[in-house]
Amino acid sequence: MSEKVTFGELIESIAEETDNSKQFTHDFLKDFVDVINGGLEEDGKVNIAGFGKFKLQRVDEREGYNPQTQEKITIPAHNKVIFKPYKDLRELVNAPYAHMEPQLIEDEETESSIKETSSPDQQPVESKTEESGTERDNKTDPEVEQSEQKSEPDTTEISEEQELNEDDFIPTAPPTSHKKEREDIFGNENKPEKEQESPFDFGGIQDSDEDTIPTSTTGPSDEVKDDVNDDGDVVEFNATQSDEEDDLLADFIRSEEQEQQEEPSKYLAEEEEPEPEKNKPAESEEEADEFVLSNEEDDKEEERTKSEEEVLAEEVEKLEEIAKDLKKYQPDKSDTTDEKDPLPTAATSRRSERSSSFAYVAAAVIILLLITGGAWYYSTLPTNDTLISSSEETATSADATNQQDDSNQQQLAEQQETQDAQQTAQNQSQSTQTPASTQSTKSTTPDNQAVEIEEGQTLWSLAEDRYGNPRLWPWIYGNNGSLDDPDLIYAGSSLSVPLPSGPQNTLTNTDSVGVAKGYIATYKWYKSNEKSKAKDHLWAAKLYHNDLQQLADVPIDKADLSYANRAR
Amino acid sequence: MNTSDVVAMLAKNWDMTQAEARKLLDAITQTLNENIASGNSFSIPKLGTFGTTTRKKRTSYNPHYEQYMKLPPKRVVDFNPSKGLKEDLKQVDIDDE
Repeated sequence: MSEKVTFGELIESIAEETDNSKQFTHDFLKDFVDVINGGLEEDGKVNIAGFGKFKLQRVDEREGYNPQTQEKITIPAHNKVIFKPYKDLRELVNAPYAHMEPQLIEDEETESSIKETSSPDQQPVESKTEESGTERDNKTDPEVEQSEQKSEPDTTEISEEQELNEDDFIPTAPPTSHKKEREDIFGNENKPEKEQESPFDFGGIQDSDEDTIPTSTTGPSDEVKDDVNDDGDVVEFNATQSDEEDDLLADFIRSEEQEQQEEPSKYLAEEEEPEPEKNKPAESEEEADEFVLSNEEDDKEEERTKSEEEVLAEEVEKLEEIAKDLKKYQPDKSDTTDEKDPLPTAATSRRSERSSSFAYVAAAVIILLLITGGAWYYSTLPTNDTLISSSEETATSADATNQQDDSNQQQLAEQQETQDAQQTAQNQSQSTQTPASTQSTKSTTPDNQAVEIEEGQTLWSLAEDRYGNPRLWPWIYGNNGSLDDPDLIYAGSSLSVPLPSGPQNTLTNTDSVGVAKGYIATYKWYKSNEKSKAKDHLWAAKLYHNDLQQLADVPIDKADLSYANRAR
Repeated sequence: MNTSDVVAMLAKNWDMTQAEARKLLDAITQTLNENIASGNSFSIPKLGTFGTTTRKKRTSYNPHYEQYMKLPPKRVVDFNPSKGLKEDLKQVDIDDE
């Protein structure tokens, strides 16, 4: 097939076809070549219809190496002759492969494997760039994984440790490819608003915590599970988790209180009647459970334990008060008939004294054990746990506390039957105080971080770097009043980048207000510069805050506002 | 310089009508095409060598659509200008382009 045809054979075949002598054909062909050469020399290109185009192409001066001596030489600028075949000829030549069509590659793995098999030196320029593209992808992948791993401990570290969060925050990025992102844009943008509602819903539940402890604890734990599953989105479950933590802690503390409230009476009862002993093993089992739990529970470091200690110290004080109350009200419970109610029917003052001392001792012992158990567990916990496992831990612990709360609640209810309404009221007021106090420790102010813009960086990419969600870029813009054109930032200048104050890169309500403000700022800019884009920014702002008119210091165009409202 | 220019020059050189010259030229190019298409390689003195090469199959990336494409192998015409032609035309000034 591919054989070498001599010039003579070529002349012969042409001569046959044209019924001319070989000599004539030879001469004619020679002349034809001369004409082509002359044409090339004259104006640089010769077009032969049905065959191709001869063309001179300029090659600039460049550095080269003498392949024999390895000497560096300068190749002077020159022309080179190129031949571009006509389409007919191209198709004729490519006939053996004409049936093959380019194929889309969905899977990047197969594509990379193909690349490995094909020799790299034969690859044209395009495939090289594409190769570098995949290299980049491969490079980013581990980063993403790392960041995911890094962010895992964060799920359990709560906002009390703002400095730590600051460090851990930066690398998290959703591991979505560009393509996927495109597909998800709408889904993602709709998500935040949905997710942001949950804290408010949950707040409502939390108010009624005292009555419905089991439901309230399962609620958040389920929520966490859900949230972990779609960890691609960052705006999600902002306050939910901290709330959940609060709740856990509050439940935890509450259950302890209840135990401790019961304990003195239990010990007292032991002296009198044997029935409460049934209670005792159950209680201790519960305690054991709780210790296991506390081990399994959230991954908090020393700071966390410290704050826990503080909270618990407060609790101890309150418990002392309660113990006094108990002393006061014990005589009133002489009419109790419930066998489970361990309160003594005729408690002497001596016994009540003992009971209060028991309460102190028991409270101190339990707290100490909890703290040490928790601290031990956190110190031994491997750092690269999966996100899911930690979430499972929180979920199981939530469930367990749930159960515990169930039993405690039962006991509490039984206690309530016998104890004064005043006592229960105090209990409740105390337990309502607890979450409030823990929450107050967690209220945070948004932090800013000074970032120097690197070359090639955009607000979009910066937001993607910092938050894992590029669509939060207006937040940065809104935080930097000096910026004018949001599409134009200069390398080397410094930006103050706000950091989400929620745990795990999540946005608290104040943060989303900041984002909404940023979007309003970009809306204003686009309104005065590129009107067509403006209303979309308003629409995005609406996703982060409901009352835009309240956020904007200038009146918003009614048409745009209605667009933002309608688009939802 | 396009085909009609070439035909006109050839007709003038060989004292024939342009139609005849064009017919001859077409016969020549057709023969050359056939030879190239069948994979033969040949060289024309003072002009260069014609032949075919096969580009291997490769994957390509479309940055606009962010898609990877698998491209099939392709056979293309290969032309190597003769040394004389190369040297002659190296330092010619190109007017346009």
